[in-house]
Amino acid sequence: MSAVLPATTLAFSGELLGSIDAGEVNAQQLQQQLSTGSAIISPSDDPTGAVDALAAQAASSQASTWATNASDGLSRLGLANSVLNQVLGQISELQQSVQSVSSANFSPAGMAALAQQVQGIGQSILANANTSYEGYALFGGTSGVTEAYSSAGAYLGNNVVPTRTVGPGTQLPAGASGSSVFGSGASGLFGVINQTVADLQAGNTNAVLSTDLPAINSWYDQVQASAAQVGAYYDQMQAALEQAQSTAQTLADQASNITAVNLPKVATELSLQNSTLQSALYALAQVVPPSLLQYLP
Amino acid sequence: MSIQALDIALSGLDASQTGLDAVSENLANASTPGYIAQTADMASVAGGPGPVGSGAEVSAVSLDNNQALTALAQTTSAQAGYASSLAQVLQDAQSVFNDFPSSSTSATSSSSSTSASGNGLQAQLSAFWSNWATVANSPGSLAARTSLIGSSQTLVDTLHSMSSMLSSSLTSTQALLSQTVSEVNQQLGELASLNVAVLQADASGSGGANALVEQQMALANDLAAEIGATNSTSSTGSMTISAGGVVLVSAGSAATLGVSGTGASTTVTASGGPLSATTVVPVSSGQAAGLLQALTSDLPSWQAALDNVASTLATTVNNQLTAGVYWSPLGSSSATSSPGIAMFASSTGGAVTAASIELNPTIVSDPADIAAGASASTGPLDGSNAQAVSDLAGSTSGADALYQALVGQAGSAVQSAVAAQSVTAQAASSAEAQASASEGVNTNAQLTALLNYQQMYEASGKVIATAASMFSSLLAAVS
Repeated sequence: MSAVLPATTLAFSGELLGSIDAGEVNAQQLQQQLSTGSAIISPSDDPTGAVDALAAQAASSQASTWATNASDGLSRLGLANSVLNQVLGQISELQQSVQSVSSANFSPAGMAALAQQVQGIGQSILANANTSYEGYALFGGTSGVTEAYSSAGAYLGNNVVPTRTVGPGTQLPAGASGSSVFGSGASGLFGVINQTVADLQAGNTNAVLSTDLPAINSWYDQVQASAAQVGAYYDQMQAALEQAQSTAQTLADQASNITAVNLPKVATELSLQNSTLQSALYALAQVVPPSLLQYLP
Repeated sequence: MSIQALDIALSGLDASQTGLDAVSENLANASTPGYIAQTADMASVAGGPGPVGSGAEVSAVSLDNNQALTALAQTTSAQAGYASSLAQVLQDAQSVFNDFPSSSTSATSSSSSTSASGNGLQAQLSAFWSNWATVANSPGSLAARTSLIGSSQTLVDTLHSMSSMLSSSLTSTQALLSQTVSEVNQQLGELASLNVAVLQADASGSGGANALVEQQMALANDLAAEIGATNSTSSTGSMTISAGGVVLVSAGSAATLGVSGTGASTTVTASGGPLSATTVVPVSSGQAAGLLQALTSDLPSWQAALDNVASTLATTVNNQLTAGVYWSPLGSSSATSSPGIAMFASSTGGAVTAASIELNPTIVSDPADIAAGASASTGPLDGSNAQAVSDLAGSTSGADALYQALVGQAGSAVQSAVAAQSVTAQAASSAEAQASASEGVNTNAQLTALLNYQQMYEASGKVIATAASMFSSLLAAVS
């Protein structure tokens, strides 16, 4: 108010009312911040902060998606790893059985029994190779087949290794294709086992020991290498999962830091605002200014 | 000594009575908004037989109006009207961006972890992209595809409702503008008839002319706040009103305002009265101008940006999908691949906008038609194309980035409108206080004047009594 001009009652009360209105709006905003716990209730409260918070929320959500991808990959890799370890045990069991041909003189009946045993182990390995995940063959690549191998040992899937995106432009393998682990056809693990069974049934000990056993040994090494590879993928995926999770958390914290209310500060401001408001109200109650009227007879 | 003293004292009595009338009128109107204090202008009367003069008279009862301060108050109130109507419209409209917790949803008090809060478009977009990754992880899962369709539908619905909220903001702002214009028309008519009444009152010398002038001023103040009208008063007391250089009231004739066009092409026009043809009134201040600014500039640009978000979403997702393949029927060993098909389309057949975006019914009826695979050679369990769609979330020119820019743009516009509102409101109230301090009723000044007139009256009375006693003693001496 201009100090030069004399005050009129109307001007005086008008000014006071204006400052009370402004104070009430301010107090209402502070109360809203306190009750929502958010300093940004509409974009205009802090346009830059609003954009930053939205971007951080979006980035955090994307990082969470990566974490979900990684954890989905982990469960595939975990299953593949345990299946391969089981298969390794079965192959070494197979090696021992086939090896026993050299130590003793086998009757034709014994050979037939051994052939049956080897065939049984081979079927267990086939069952493992046909492990299903979410209704589809785990080692079938991306072909969508329900069984990776036919009973004759032919590979039915494709050679595409499924991947999971775990970061910006980062894709990690989430499995292994059956053909790279067990091979396919006559030269594949199941082809070798079938050949061994045939040789045992034919009593061809020589072929069993000179050709089949070394082939089985070599497949043991290959499956072991594949298992090690899947284990390495598992570790990579685990690391990616942890990173994506921590990124998601950091970004989420960032978003909430931008929007979060500084409680002590807002509470102090609110109580200050309330006392200002009260004094303005008191002044308004006293607005009838001291006038000459009081001193006239 | 002559009889002159009695006449002079009588003129003092009359003058002080008129002064008292003015004071009492002022005190009675001390709380009347827009009331302009009156002053009885005292003057001495020349003439009479001697050099003394022949008493006092009230030459005029004038209004204490202050042209400069009144004009300042009107200009600032026009600016405040502009800023406050713009800020109100935009503040209402920005509720469409409900990405932040509103007061109605009571959020948890302390912020422990994040809140990807609200049901805003950003949260819907994030859920949409995330569901694409789920499809990428399990391309053979019908559940993943169905929930993707669900979140796409929610996204489309959100865009629809945001678009219709912005449209209804436009409609209600247009209604508000029409209402303001019809109020203005009524006031223009009243002002024209006041102009006529002032002329008649002056000509006939009948009382109440000052009250008419005050009514003129009050209307002029209202018109300034509503359409930023400026005024000038001629020597005859007739007030001319113009806005944006267009004369709206001249003497007894008033133009009629109207609103023509809709949306971005809305204008205020004037016709009739002093105007020979329909003229566009370039309203640049006052409430109407604030509404026009929101109607023609801010709201349409928000709508356009939202449409751009929708069309970018549709284009980027559709392009990625048509680059891939889908396998149908889902999960069947005899599934065959086909080139990917678009997910979003326009219900009008034209360009995709926030209002017209819709899901391709083929995809809705058979989620297997979502092209998750990259090519026919990679098999039905290849989700790399779905993952590529999911990766669009991080695109710097994608729908997310555009939406965030829109929120920033709208937030800044509202923030500056609100800031302008508080600054101009302060300027207006201070200018009004100055004008009212200068023109309004100062009780103390009036009471002082009251004492002066009272003493003047008593003194004149004393002169009459003294003169009377002198005459009677003279008469007693003579007889």
